[in-house]
Amino acid sequence: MHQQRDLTWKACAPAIAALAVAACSGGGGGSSDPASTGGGGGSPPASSSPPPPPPPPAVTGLDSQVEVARFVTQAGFGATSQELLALVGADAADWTEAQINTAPTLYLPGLLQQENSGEDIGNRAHSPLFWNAMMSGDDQLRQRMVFALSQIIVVSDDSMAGESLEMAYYVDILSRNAFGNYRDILQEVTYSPAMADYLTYLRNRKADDRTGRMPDENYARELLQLFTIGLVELNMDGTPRLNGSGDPIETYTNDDVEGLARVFTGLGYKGTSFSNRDRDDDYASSPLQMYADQHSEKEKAFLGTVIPAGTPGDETIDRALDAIFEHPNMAPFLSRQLIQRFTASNPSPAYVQRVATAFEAGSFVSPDGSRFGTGQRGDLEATIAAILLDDVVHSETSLEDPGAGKIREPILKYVHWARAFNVSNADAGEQGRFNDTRRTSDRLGQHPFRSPSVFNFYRPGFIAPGTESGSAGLTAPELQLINSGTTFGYSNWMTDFAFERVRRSGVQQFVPDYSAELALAETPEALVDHLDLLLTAGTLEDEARTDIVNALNALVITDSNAESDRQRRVRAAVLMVADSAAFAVVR
Amino acid sequence: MTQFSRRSFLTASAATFAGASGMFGSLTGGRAWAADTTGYKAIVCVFLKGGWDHGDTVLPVDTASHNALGNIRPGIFGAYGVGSGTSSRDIANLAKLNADNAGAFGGREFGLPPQYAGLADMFDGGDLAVIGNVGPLLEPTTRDEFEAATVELPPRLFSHNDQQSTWMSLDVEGSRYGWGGRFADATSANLSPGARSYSAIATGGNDVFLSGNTVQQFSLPGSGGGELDVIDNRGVIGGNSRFDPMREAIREYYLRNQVTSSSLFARDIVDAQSQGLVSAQNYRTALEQSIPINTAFPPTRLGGQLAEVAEAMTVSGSLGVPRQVFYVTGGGFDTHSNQVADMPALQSEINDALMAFRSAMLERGLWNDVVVFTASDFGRTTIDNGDGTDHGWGSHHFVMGGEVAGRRIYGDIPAPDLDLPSYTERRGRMIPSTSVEQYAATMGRWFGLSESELGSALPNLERFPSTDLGFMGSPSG
Repeated sequence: MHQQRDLTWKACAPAIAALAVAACSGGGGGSSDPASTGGGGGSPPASSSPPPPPPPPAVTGLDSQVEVARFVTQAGFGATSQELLALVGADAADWTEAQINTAPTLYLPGLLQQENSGEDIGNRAHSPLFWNAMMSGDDQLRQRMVFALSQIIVVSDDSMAGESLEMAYYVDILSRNAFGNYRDILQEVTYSPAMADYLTYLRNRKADDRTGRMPDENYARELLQLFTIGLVELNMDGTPRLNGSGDPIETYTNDDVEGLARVFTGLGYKGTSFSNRDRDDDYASSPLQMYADQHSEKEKAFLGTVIPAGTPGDETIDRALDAIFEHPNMAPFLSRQLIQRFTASNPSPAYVQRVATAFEAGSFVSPDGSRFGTGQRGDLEATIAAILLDDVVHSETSLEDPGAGKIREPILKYVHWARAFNVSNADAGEQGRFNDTRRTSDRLGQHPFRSPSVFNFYRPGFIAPGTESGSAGLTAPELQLINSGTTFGYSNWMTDFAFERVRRSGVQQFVPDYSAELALAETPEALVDHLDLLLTAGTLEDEARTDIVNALNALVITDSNAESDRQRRVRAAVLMVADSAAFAVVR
Repeated sequence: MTQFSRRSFLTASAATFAGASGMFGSLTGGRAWAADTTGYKAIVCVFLKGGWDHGDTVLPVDTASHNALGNIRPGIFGAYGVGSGTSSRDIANLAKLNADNAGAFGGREFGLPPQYAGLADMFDGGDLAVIGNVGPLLEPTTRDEFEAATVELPPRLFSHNDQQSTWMSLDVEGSRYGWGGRFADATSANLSPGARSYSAIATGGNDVFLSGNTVQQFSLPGSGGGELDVIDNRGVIGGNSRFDPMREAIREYYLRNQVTSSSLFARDIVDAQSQGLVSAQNYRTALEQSIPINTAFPPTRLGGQLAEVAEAMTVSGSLGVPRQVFYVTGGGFDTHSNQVADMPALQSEINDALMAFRSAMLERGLWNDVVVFTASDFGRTTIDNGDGTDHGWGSHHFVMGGEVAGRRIYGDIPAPDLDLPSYTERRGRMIPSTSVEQYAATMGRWFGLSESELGSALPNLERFPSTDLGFMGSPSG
């Protein structure tokens, strides 16, 4: 689905300005829908506007190891030492394209195989799979995208004990479509047993006028509020549209929710009847089935759309999802949240608009001329490329902006450690702690696919009370996870790993390769410099550097203990960098 | 924020008037402008996330009303097997509330599900009150005004996150100050920063309820928490004392609270880390020197949290903090589906945890110093959806404590008749007849806040006819 880079396009783009844009994009890779008009939504034709300014020079070149480190931390889980060297001189678009083309790590096939071979796949067999994919998968951009999408179109397995296959099926939907189209994700997730279980529209029945029973409104409401359009009308740049008195305009009313609730009636597990008893053996890994007699035959009216009475159930859902997906909020609402998962908690309106425009157009051309997306509205390949290859992500000025970048959540920080040091003998399935990493005293206070509610681990609009960022009015979603309780959990978890204290039956597991670091243990400044590049992309704060060097020097290496003392220095240095503000903040 | 300042001004005028007329009598004597912080008092918020179904909390026990409710929610009543004689929701099995003001409801009578038997006893014993149909309002609101949109309404009704935030902070998600934090601002004004840091205590996540101007929540480290292994566990680096200088240097690193980074996020991270470390370690030290509570708490999520709260109260003296606001949460109340399977267990968890909490308070002589109240996103629809209920607005809540004027139902329990103006026109969502701010103010006044402090914490309070519901024993004002 990703169009190979079009060299013709690339060659002409930087050289020729405005006029060339139309010419090149028209010939670029055979897309029938060039990006020029912004896709569909009633915007005036481009011909009435002045010609766009010339494209900026390609700023997405990764000219140094620091730039590589920074970019792979934003887009992936952080680079290894080998990747730092190998990627210098490449363009970020190259990496992005290669990642998009990397085969996905899927969960369901492996789980089904385990189950078919008679193995008890247990309650939460999917959790170790996700951890393993993050720690060692080649498709790190896809894994980041899966994790990001799972925080927007949320199913939490907290209330789904025993449904590992449903969860794996859901995660694979996100994985397969991570660079596909968001409309397809809406479709497949709506029909996924996991979502139906989670948001309680599984076996949701039409209204009963005799008893007064009404359809369950849960999915209708959260689909609108959280997965597609949000509560207030947005401009393309993600800012709220205001009415005449300067107030935001709500996107829907309770009447819309009640109307939409009728849409999601009649869905049950795949089987021979609506009853759970009659579900097929493979119900958990199959799309839901529409049971016509349980689907509301009434008219469904919502958001100005009317689906006539008597429309068949599947067609009704199709038309409803189309209508919601066409809402002008869709692009800015999703774009802004995806940006928040990767590069910035407070993206500028212009940045949001550029990404939303790529979502609308379904295509994106990076500064070096690489072309992403199929040209279909909702294309996530174009969207993620627009997020990662934007000027603002690659410009140095963002380092001076006090609100630039974002805080990384504990899961991302831990995985960065695991990848940076190439951990071996590291199967999450062999360490019980990976089945639930939420405990705050000695674990991460967060577990993938296990947020406390459909509102995710944190809210996109969270402003942390009593903080400098909060006083500046900056949103900081990930700060919602950090408090006097949870800082200990992350530190203690990292202590176990950084100090190589993870064992099973006496055998050391999750063994980091510290060989490069041990070679620098006698020179603390050089060791900290090296870790600053590998883990914090050169942003380690001065005070931390001084404190860490002091701490390492505080252990005087003695001849009789030289090897173990060097180890102590390396482990302590790794822990302290992993607990630095620079490691937490990517910008 | 402009609302706060405008409101402060209005409240100041009102308080002046009240003082002049002697309306508050001896209750406000000598503390008109600054919070009264003599003795020890604590407010405990039990926030039940998801929106708890008031209709499955306070049920009618007179036959006519019980039948009427059954006709409105046949799915729920049917699943409970009402009418079988053995159903937990059959009249005979509900725990009747023998309210002193039972006559005020025109012959209608009320009870709690048997899972709440302990709470019903507490009600009859005078330590628990029911607050009927309370919810977010900006001003008194009738159905006609609601349907005609001629009244100022809290934005984003029926949305979980926004109504949680509105209950806690009187504004939608993204607001920065909760009224729990504002109460603690008032009562900790004269404390040292160290003591002040224990004025607002949560057992879990970072919700807005405890955020004030000067007060930020302290998150209890939890059992086994509050230790930094790399320093506190000598096995990590090594037991030999020659590693102590490195340990100390690492401690210095974790305690650093200054950073020259241009990133506000980086500065916030460093701040949270150092403050968290200091507060948690001082707290642990105080706890280690205290006498443990004997009362056993149930091993549930809520039980564990209330055990931590009780424990924290026992060291309030050594931490030097005379007023504390606590915040604990329960989850799983968004009962769109399977309500009949899920609700009774949730109710037992609440009942058992609160009963244990009361025992612990009695054990330590703190029961008269504490008020515990429930809160939740919203109530739910009176009409069911087959096996569950959907998002509503007003709800019924519990308040308990030794000084609570219990054995009474305050406010309104609307009859199960959806033609009444107490409900929105469809699905039977209750329009609150009492605002969250009235509910809060009644506790805040008991907590020691002056009228002006209440006014600045609760910006719409003066729009309501009464700022004191009376359940803390103070006169209706």
